[in-house]
Amino acid sequence: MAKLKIDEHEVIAEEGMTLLEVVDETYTALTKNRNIVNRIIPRLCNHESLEPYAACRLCLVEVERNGKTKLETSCNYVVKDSEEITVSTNTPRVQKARKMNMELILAKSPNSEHLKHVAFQLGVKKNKDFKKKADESLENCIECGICTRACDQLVGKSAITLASRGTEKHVEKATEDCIGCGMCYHICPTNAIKMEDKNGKRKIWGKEFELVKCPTCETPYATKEMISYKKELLKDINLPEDFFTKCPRCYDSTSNEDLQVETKYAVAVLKNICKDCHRCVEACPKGLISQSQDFNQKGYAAVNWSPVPKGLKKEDLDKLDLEKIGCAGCQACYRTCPESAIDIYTKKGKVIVLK
Amino acid sequence: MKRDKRFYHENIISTLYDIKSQNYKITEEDIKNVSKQYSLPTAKVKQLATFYEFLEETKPKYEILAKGPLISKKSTTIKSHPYDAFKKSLEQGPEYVLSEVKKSQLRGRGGAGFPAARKWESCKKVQNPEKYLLANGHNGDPGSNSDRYLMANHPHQLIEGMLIAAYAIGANKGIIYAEGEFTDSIKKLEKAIKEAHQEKLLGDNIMGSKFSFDLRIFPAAGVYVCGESTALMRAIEGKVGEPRLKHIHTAEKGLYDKPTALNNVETLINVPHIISIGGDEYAKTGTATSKGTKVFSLIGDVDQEGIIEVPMGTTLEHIVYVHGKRPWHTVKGIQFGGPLGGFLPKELLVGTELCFDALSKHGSMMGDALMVIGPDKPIPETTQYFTKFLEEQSCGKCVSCKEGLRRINELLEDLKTSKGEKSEELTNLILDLAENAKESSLCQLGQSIYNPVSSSIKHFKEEFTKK
Repeated sequence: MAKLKIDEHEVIAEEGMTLLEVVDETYTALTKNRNIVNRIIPRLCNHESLEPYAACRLCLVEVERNGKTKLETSCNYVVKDSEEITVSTNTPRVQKARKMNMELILAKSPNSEHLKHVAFQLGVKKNKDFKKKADESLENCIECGICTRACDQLVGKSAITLASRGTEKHVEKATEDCIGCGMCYHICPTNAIKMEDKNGKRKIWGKEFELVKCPTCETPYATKEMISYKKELLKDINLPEDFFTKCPRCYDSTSNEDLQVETKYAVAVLKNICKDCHRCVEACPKGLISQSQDFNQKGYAAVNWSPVPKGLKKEDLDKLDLEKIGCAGCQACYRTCPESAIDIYTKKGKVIVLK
Repeated sequence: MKRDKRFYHENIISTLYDIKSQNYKITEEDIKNVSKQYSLPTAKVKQLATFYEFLEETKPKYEILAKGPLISKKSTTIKSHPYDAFKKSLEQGPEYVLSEVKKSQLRGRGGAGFPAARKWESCKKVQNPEKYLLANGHNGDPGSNSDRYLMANHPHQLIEGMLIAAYAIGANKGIIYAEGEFTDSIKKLEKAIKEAHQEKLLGDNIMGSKFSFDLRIFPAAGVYVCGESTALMRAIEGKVGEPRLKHIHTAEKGLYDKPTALNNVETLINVPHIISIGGDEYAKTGTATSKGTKVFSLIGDVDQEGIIEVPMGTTLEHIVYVHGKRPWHTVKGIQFGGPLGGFLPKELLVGTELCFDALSKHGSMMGDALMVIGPDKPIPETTQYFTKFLEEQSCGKCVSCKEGLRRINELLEDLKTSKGEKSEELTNLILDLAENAKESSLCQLGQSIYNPVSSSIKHFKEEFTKK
């Protein structure tokens, strides 16, 4: 356990946590409000389920170590047992650096609503006299690398990547490895990536994918490539053929109702708020959300989340890479829900606030 | 270039380099083939192919203006360089080497000037049967070719320096990171390594001792940011050369997560000299904090561009007037340390000694290139030359560096066209951006943007604001 001082609060945190997680947990414990953490330390390139990248430089905090004070990015600063550090999250120095970096980001991509919102929270009102950069394809892209990391770490395909260097750095169009799962589209914080599902076709990255229709309900639900990738991942396991052909809404399996799986992420659907619009069902790149049979107080059949695809058995799970096949915590459902009925919990290290 | 595989560190980057130098381009087809060969997704290979420069072979011109103890005698053949200092070290033991280097107060020649002995000690402390010693021959400062010269003409001195350093810290693997465009240096190094192998100075159980050392060359594929230690290690691992947080020291987890010591080529070439004359004797030359001599390129508005070796403590005035042969009225100032160094006006050249601390006090840096600036050269344009270079050669990860440099270059352009209007405002904004890059960026490249920008504005403000 590492001893830290965060602003005025003395805390004890587990070794191996990042500073960002420690600060988040501390303020969540203090205020009992999870939504406040983005105000304490703003962030753009960080995503709970991805390896930190530290490109946006907004999560800077002042770290005092061995008598020296330095600005450090909290998202990739790993807490060690042996050292005692003091962290200040809101000093004039921190504020100045964050504001300047936000101004630079906003000058590059001035049209994104999310960026405008973060800038407003930081008190950045108007761009300084910077010229805007007109990008043809990915207008709002800030090269934070969330989509490329997600494609690599959560999907396991690595079809998109950050190419080139310096100011030329950009997200390169998807290669032939792309399966059209839409993970990049859903995870992009600035909505820079465009995807369109129309007439049974999905358009993304200038490619066209054919959407497969569910034999029962006749709704297009996944691309051919997604299904064959799923088959490839599950090739060692005996599964009925309709496991792959039916959509998650229709594939009815009672076999794993009581299957308790410990995953890093837990998605909670607030059943009484859910209005059964099925946007999350369509968004989930892994097909883990389905319709339930119980009606809520308003008369809607609320959705259900399962950590691994339904129909898998307990003995199968040991053979599988759960990150690739089960819930990877991409937050696509959370981001797409119009009713804010979805909450995601990530397992993190423990933080105890002493004072 | 045909390579003897025994002496090279091969990875995906050198494979791509070979393709580029054979066909002058890397096609989509090539990328697919390489991705199959290394079983990597095509996108990742594409990333590497677009990140690195894969520079074409260049022909160097070495002009030696002043010689010192390091470059007085070439060591291109093993006969001219008998490895006496290494044999002496083997007899005396690693502790002796460390204490001599400590006595010599040798500081790293890469720029920051970190004491070499302290670096080695922290790496020696870490227990691991596999340790790396790397020689940084990146030599990326525009106009400079001093490290390249050292590798091409003093390869045995470098190998001996690496042997002694590796023996002191207990490293068993060494890699010389040399730019692939330096074909002359690489060929000479290859020949020297071959000779050393024949004499049993490299390989297993050297000279009957328990010490084994495997030395290889890595022909690097360019990009200025890869001169940074952690980015350099990633390049050797065959990854994209983006620096990482140095929160965990490379002495503990460096190349392939093994303890690693990285030294500049010039630092290592100093080591045999220190061992043969003794640390105390070595420390007699130089200033209170910087000892020995320094080899660098003298470029810009001088009589003759070339490489000089001068003792530490020589005044900059002396270097410009004696070695550069430039009278007082034909010099406006100098720029030392390449894109990450700083400008000094001619008033400061008087009395400022060649010393790590004196230079950094004035906002400049010890580097591989000293550029003399004549009165006709506008300072804002010279600054822009450096910031443009950095914009192109940054890895492009941190917003403060990437976007900051983009805006600094735009503003410098505006300054040129505005003809004095709003110039005060614009220079302040440029300074703000440079300061933010220093505060917020991850690596040395981003943090050092401040040096050229602020020193030029500080010392030559009237040139930025004139109508």
